Amino acid sequence: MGTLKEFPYFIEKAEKIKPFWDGLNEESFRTTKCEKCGSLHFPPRILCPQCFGTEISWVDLGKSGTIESFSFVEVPPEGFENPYFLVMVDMHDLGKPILARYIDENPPEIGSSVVMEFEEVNGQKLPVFRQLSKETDNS
Amino acid sequence: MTSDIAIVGAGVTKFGKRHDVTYRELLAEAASEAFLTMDEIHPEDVEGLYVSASMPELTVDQAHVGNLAAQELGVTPKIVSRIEMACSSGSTAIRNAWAAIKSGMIDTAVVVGLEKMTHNPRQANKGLCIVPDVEYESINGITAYSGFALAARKHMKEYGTTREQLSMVAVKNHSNAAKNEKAQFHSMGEISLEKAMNARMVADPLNLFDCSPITDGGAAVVLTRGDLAKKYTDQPIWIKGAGQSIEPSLGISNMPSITEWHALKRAAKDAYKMANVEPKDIDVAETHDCFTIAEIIEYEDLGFTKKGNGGKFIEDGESRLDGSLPVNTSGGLKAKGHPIGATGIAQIVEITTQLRGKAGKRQVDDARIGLTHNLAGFATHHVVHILSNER
Repeated sequence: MGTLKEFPYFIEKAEKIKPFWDGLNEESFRTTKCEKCGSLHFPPRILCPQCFGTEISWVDLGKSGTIESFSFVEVPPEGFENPYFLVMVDMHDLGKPILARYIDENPPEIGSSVVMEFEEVNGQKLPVFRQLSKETDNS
Repeated sequence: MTSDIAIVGAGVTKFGKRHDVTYRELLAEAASEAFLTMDEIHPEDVEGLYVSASMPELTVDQAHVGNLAAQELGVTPKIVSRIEMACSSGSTAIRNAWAAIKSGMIDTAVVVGLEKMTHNPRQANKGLCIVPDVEYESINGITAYSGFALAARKHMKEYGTTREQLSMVAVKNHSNAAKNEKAQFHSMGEISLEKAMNARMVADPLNLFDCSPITDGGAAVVLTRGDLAKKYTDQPIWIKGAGQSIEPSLGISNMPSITEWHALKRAAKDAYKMANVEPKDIDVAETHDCFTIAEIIEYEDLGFTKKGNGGKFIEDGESRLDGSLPVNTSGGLKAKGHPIGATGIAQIVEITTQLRGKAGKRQVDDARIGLTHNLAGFATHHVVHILSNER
């Protein structure tokens, strides 16, 4: 199954956004919430795009979601090795889709439930998805 | 101040591998192709200069290409700008020139767009890969082709669109390119449905023949105030409607839907309203077929057919050259080629050529009203123009 070897583009882990990347390394799906209007954001922000509020806090969200679509990527882009499944997952708590690789042995299906797991690349964990089984802790 | 804006010059270079010219020569060639379609044009007429270029910093190590264009054309415009809106840079540049003329600040503008990609495919691919949300989506393995593959699979599931219907778009556009000497795949000629269906899978359900290529090419148009049009040509083409809209989403996460493009519907609604026409009035269209599924969704969201019926629209032959609404008569991005900065301008050139009755073997009979649609990102940004050969 395909993996990310080394991401070829610049990712700026500045001070304010650090809780997001630290969250992934702690195996949490952490993002921002507007204290004024209550909106959840993804990607995380310092300015609320719903109300222009600037009082922002960090929250850890649940890691379960539903597959909205998927593709088997046979020509991996630069930095990736071997073909892999890409999934678009509607995250239950967030209410928006996020995109990530799918690492389960069984192929993905539209409408099936998945849970976010994490895969480390050069010291940074990144989200990947696996089918939600009965044994999986859906928190 | 008149509100009518005319296209008085329109030309494209040969698209494909253009290792015979430098970047700046390609820019000059694009401008000269437009000037050759005019009765006259002089450097001092050029009060506005808009350059559509997506990635020269990556592919040719040249920034400030607005100034490069001023040098190559020998002009001193009052408004000059380089426009970068990824694949929709060209139509955005035209929209900016149109707004500047409409405001009364300038009378005449040259809009030129180009890209040189094939000599450095690695940098060109980087230019494409950094268009979506690099930090939050690309890092997880999504690219343009896999993003549109997600849309294709979902559209198939929701509406029953078939793998065969996707390939029919490719077959049609290659057939049109075979009639367009400027097209990248002109010499490839027609392709069979079997060939299109059996191509190497890239990101399922999309295969190589569902994808537009990387291309070198340029295109240019000259816009002017309506009352000045006759000075430049006896066949002005009129911009009757224009619309633009964007989603607050760089990648997919903040799009309301990947199979129904709300921003396209907003842009189209504004353009149809301004032109006072309906989709059924359109005689010919150039739409953004970066991937075959895109053209199918565009049939629907431009209102050419009802939602979910895009697959049937191609299967029934409606968008073929001999159909009720020919789409991508130039060969489209798919087969004419997709030099990013040139694409949106080349679409306007094709419709201008059709409305002037000068499209040769691919001429649509009695074409009077035409539409262009140009998008960027995962269909997050859209620009629609409606042109007419009647004022």
